[in-house]
Amino acid sequence: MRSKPVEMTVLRRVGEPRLFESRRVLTLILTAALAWSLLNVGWSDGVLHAGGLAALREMGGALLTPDLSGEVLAKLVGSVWRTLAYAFAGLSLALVIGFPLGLVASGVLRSDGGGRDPFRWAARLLLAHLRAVHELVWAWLFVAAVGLFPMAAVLALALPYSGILGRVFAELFQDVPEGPLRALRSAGASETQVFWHGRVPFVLSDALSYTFYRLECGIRSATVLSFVGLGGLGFHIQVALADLAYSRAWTFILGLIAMIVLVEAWSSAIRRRVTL
Amino acid sequence: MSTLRPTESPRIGFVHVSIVAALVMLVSSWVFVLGWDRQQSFSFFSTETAGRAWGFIQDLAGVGRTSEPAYAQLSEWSRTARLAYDTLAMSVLAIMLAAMGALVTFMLGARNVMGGGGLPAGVTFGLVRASWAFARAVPELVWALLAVFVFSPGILPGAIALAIHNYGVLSKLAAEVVEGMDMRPVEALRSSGAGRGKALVYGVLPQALPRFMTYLLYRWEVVIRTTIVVGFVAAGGLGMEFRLAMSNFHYTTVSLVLMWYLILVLGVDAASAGLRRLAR
Amino acid sequence: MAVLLDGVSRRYGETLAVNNVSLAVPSGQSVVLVGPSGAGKTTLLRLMAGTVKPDSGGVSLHGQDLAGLSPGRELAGLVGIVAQQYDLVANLSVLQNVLAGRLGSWGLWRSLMSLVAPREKPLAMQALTRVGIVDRAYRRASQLSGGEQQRVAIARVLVQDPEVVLADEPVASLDPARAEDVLGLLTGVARESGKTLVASMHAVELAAKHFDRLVGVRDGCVQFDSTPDEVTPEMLDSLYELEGLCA
Repeated sequence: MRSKPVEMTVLRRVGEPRLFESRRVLTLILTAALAWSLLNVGWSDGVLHAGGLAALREMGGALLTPDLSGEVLAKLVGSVWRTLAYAFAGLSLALVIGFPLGLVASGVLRSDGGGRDPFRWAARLLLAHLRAVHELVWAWLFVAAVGLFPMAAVLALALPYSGILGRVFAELFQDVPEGPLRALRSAGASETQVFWHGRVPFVLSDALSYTFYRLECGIRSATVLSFVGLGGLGFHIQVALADLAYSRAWTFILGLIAMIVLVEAWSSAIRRRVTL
Repeated sequence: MSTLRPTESPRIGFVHVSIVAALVMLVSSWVFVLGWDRQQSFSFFSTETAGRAWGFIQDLAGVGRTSEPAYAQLSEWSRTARLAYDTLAMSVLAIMLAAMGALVTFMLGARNVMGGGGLPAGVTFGLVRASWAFARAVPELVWALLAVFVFSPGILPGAIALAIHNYGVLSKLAAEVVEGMDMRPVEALRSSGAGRGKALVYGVLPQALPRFMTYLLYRWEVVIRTTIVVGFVAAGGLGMEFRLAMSNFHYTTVSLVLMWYLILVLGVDAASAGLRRLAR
Repeated sequence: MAVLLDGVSRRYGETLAVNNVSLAVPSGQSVVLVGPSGAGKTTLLRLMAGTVKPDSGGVSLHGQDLAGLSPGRELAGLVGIVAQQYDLVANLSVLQNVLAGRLGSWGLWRSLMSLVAPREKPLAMQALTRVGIVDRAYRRASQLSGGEQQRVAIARVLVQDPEVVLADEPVASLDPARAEDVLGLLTGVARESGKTLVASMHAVELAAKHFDRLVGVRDGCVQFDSTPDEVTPEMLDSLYELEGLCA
């Protein structure tokens, strides 16, 4: 029995919940972290770039007057299509990889919950590593390794996303309530039937919801893959900014925003009709 | 007993159309990705690719080079240590700035807080929500491209870019927490005489803060992964070193940077998990 | 005998949940176990369902000893269960939930096909008509009220068509009016189909209204076993008293 300091015991008797202590510690840590990070900014060189303020003003103005010439719009449509294609292909591959991995990692395939199942731990490890690396880093590595292929972009997107999806699916499978499953078993269902009639319907709506959220992220990521030389939108934005053509850059950025907003609206419409 | 007739089985609905549309999109995407491939002199799925990939892996490991690989040299580690430190600082600055922005605006974008305030409240709500959507929709990298024009080089442009994007993300998450919250404590405070603002602060914040801190920490894990990428264009931290090394074909240095990257990512994941336990 | 418990006992850690209980239920009878929570009613039902094995004594259903059988397919033809709540698959339609009663007879392929295009619809529709909610057939199960969900559970048991129906606190989560309706439905269905029904309830007055045989259970023992008219206020008091041992 460890002896605790008197003050702590008194506080606990008075009723001050322990939670508040740890949360205050957390707030302190976060504030300290902020202060530390601020110290690392090179304040001596000045916050703003030499022409920074002017650039900011110009950017703001250009936002209101995006370049809508035919040539630019044509490029916009083309790059939007390319971005969408990469995102869809990448997400579908991520699902194909992530779903089975997530299923194994959840441990629900084993009757004992997979506590000591080596496959389960292997799956969890694999998912963690897939998740660790950003898609752009994967993309850069693939391109350096084998060259400019759309497939490289798709793989670069699919690998980290499969890790993320897999982990989420694993948790969803674990969270299925036991009551309905027990009822199905008593009605005579075999374990496989319990899985398909009990777990899958429950997981499906949340999984669908999360996958659509990831699709949105995937579109943003696909845009960004241009920086490695693949894909369309990011490349055009980069070029426009290199030319200091802010209006043209905003056209592409606004196109990107429009695409994302539409996908977001579509996915919430679906989610509303499918979830509980 | 009255006779009850079953309702007709659901006809073709929005969901069915969407599924078909998604499948069409899926198939055409793959056709595009695999078909466009023909432009290269060889296919992605070939022994040529495999050979190249293997060669690259060997380059990363430093096989066949005369000099010692970068990741085996202590001097290289200590040189890049400063960059890793900067990258960490960038990620912390970014997430904290984003959090501060979110804390200021999140209640203004919550439906149950702003509802019933008439036109000015409605307009504020709309503007605040729009700012989040705008901030969120633009990828961090694009914000970074813009930020380098405005801010002097160092960790600031990257941090600001990450902060703007994540401000949008955190604000939306926080607003959803508020919208799902029990408003009775707030009403109770108001009925005991507190003004609208004070009632919100005392009623909403204590409930929302723990969840908010959890989201902050989860988001930090995402931010550290993106910080290296933002460094590519914003010329700060490990990202800059990665880009330089790639351009100069110093592949063993690339390996070194990747090792630092993994250390940072795993470290932040662990720190975040530990801190999250404090937030409970 | 439809249900025969012969001197069964069951212990959970320190507690003796069921203490040497013997009970015989003839085929077609509707029996209700009444008593306070923690009395052992649920354990008794679980013993009858075969989901829990007794530490001593035997359980048999229609002459079949449950000792060797495991819950699931083997027992589905003998026993069907209606639980207190939360046992419908929330995301599936009412129709799909009712058809789940047939899973014991379907192979894997047919079950999967049924998820996409429901098989044996007329059977399910008939059951739903009997319980009075056929107009809800295509709704998602989670969209139904508590009382309606219990009706779906009853319809599922109808489709499953076991010899014995066990109901563990079937109306405890419902308000008095709904509870009355659902209980009447449950006992009515059991009577019409000639099935044996064993239920557990803690609301004695309600139980007395619908069942012909009341078994008082307390601290793992049977306190009394009689028809509603024979139950005296003293017997009920002894059931719900704070102190007391087995007779």
